Amino acid sequence: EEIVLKALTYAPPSKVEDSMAVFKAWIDKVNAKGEGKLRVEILGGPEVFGVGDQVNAVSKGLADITLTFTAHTALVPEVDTLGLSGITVAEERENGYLALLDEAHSKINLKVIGRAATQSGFFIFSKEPIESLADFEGMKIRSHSGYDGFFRKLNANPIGMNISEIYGGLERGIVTAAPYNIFAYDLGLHEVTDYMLADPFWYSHTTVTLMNRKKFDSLPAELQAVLIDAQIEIEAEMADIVAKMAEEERKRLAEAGMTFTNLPPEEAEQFRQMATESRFEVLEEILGADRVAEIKALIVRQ
Amino acid sequence: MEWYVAFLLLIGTFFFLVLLGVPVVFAFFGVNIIYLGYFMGEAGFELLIDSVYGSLSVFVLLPITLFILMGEVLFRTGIAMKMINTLDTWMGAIPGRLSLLAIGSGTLLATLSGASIGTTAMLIRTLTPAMQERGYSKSLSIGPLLGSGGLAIMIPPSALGVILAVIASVSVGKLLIAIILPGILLALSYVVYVVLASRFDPSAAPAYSSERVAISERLMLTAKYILPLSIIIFLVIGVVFLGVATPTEAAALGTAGAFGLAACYGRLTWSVTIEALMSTLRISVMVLAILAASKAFTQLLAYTGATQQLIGWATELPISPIWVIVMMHLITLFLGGPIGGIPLIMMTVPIFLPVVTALGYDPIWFCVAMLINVELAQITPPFGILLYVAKGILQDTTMGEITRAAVPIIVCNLIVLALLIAIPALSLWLPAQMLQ
Amino acid sequence: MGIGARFGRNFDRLLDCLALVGCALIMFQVISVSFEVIVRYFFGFSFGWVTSLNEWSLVFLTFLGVAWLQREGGHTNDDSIMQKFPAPVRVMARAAAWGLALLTTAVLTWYGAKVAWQNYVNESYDFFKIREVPLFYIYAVIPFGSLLWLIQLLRSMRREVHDNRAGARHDTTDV
Ligand code: NA
Ligand code: NA
Repeated sequence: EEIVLKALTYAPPSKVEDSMAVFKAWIDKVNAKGEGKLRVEILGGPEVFGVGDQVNAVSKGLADITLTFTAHTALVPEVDTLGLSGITVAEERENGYLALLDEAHSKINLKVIGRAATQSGFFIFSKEPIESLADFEGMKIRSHSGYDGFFRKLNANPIGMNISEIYGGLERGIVTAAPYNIFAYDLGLHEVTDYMLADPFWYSHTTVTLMNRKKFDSLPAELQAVLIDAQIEIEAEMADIVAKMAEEERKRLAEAGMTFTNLPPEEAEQFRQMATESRFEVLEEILGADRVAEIKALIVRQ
Repeated sequence: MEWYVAFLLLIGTFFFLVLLGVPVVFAFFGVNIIYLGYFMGEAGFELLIDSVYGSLSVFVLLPITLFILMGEVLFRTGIAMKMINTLDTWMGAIPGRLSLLAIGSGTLLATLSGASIGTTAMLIRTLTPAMQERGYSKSLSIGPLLGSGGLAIMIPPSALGVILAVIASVSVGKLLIAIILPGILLALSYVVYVVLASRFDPSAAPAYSSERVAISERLMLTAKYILPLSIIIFLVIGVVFLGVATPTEAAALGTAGAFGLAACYGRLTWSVTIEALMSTLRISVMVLAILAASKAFTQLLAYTGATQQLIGWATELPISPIWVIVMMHLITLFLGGPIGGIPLIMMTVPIFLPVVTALGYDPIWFCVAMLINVELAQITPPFGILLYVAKGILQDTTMGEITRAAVPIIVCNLIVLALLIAIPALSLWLPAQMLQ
Repeated sequence: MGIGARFGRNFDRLLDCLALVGCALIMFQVISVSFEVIVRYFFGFSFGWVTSLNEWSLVFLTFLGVAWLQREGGHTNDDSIMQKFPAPVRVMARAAAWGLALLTTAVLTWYGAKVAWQNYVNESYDFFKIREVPLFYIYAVIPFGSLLWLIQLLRSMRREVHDNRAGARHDTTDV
């Protein structure tokens, strides 16, 4: 008899975004390899369980799989390093970083299947062009506690604001900039901003596919292999899928009047490092210096 | 379980409980708990708690408490009453004078109040005695009052509009701007009705000459009681347009402004403040508890897969999409009486809206019509909360008389509703200007 | 004065106090949000905490107010249809309403306490809000308020049974 795994996604299933596309491609692969023995089905997005509750729901067995991001960092602080990696997905799988994440998730009954996107990250959309780090000085930028440290380092003025208020906040000038991934067209950011800083931060992206660990362990070895093999296959194709979608989105934004700016090369490097370091500093307080050093040794490209 | 079985069971049980007289909050939670056990097991109860936390700790819900408080302060300090009296001095001996005053007051109050029941009750209590004394017919006295009170949710600030925007995930600011034109249109349709009715049957609204107030006195009263209201309107809407605050924040500014205004008139006492706060707490707790319960209910509905399947089914119906929309509005109107505005929006919108979007319609357009429809449901027989409110205040009037008085107003509402559905620009033009 | 009466009086006082706390929270919303806007507009500065605290205030005022609202008969219902039915049917409908009310508050109390405890043990925080504030502090108000709600329901039920025996017409807005 066919085993059906129910999956949740952090965004509505219809949302066009790199991680969603990769995740769906993974599902297609699983369903093809499953050959009537195993099937993954998307149950729904935030309308079923709120984004903050999806990991909980999978951990407690109300769904089997979730495509999520780092919203459960309170329970598994290690997951916050997802965006900070400087190595490729294949290297992460080989050098034990993925195993480390998986082990960290086991205490809340979750199995890490793998990443759903890579090499994309977050961009700053703004009303004024950003061409040097000095341009951040005093900039009113939409933020939440995860970004605050980084934006303060840039001497910007982080303003706490709900995701649902980003559009209105930019439209009315309450903030003049906001971080978002490149798939900003749906949100209408091109209507309320004119520039995008094309140097991403946390460019390894933060999305990840998680599964209920008991459920995973209960599957026969061949079906476990179906899930993992499909993931390994998709990881090889991931960078291309993401690059292609990002390119299309970039074109769409450009046609809507968006101008892309860059920092001078050395400042761009500084910008990336500040973003990474500000996260590592916070993590050191939570995880301890040793654990952070262990993770850094794995994912920071020397 | 097939999706439609789950759907019918969940929805059916809920309505059965409501008709049984079970308070709405327990009907929602009760259905949830009964079926959670079946669909999810014990872990479902734990996620229920997460869902309650998640659906309440939402910033954009803040205007619910704030808008209600703003209205309470203005009513309880007597500022609203002063405003009506001032408006009254400008009305000459025209036919249907008091009915027009009712509409004018309703529209002005609508710019200050977030909830319709309070406005209606206050207008009925103040204006009907004068109308009855002057020999106005029931239709021309009660009708416009029923309609004008309901304007409260069609002209910003509108607590119900905020809830609708949040549930529908559309921009609160855009929706609040989008309802302005339809709200004015609605008020105008009432004016047309009153003018025509008193033309055709002058005895229904006997003309009389009221005490003339000197023009200087009138100007003075206007400067004192009507002009300052523009400060509040500015705080609620103007600051949003100027980019000083988000609509949520503007609700707080407007409320602070109402307190300030009351203080300036020397009418802000401790006891009035406490009364206003208590009354606000009462309504807010009721609304928020239902909100948490209904959110959990719609999540359960989505968990069973019924929501997704229903959307698929509705978008593939062999009828023109506009009829799907009309059907949704009919369902809303039908259910709106017994269930009431807030729970109704929470029940239907999460199910309807994905279909609306899938059919290619603008969610704002749908929401504006939805709001007018919810208001309409409150004055259509057999159930209509505003009809009960009127009956509660006018002890010696029969329910039949009240219902008959409501009929022309219902017709006005239906015409405006049809116009809104047929001409999307009525609801979409103004918010589009926001972008310029 | 009997123990029951003394408990009842103190319980009423507690509910009144909590309602006042609820009122204070509403005033906090007005003041803190207005203040944030003014400071931001004139000084270009934003407090990081205004949004989160106001979001949490909604959870607090709801659960601090539910039991009080129950006592005040403010949870909205529509019994216009039931009024048309004969007395035995009405009694059964009332019983169903009481049953669901008790079930709801019991589940919210028990599982509210369980989840709040889990949050305490896991040292959870809300990713989208102020991370320094343990989520446990917010969740704790859910079982607390629900327990008071449950107790108030039992009090209202007892009074209704008492009134029915005394032949008085019961107040249907109680549940
Ligand atoms: Na209004
Ligand atoms: Na009705």
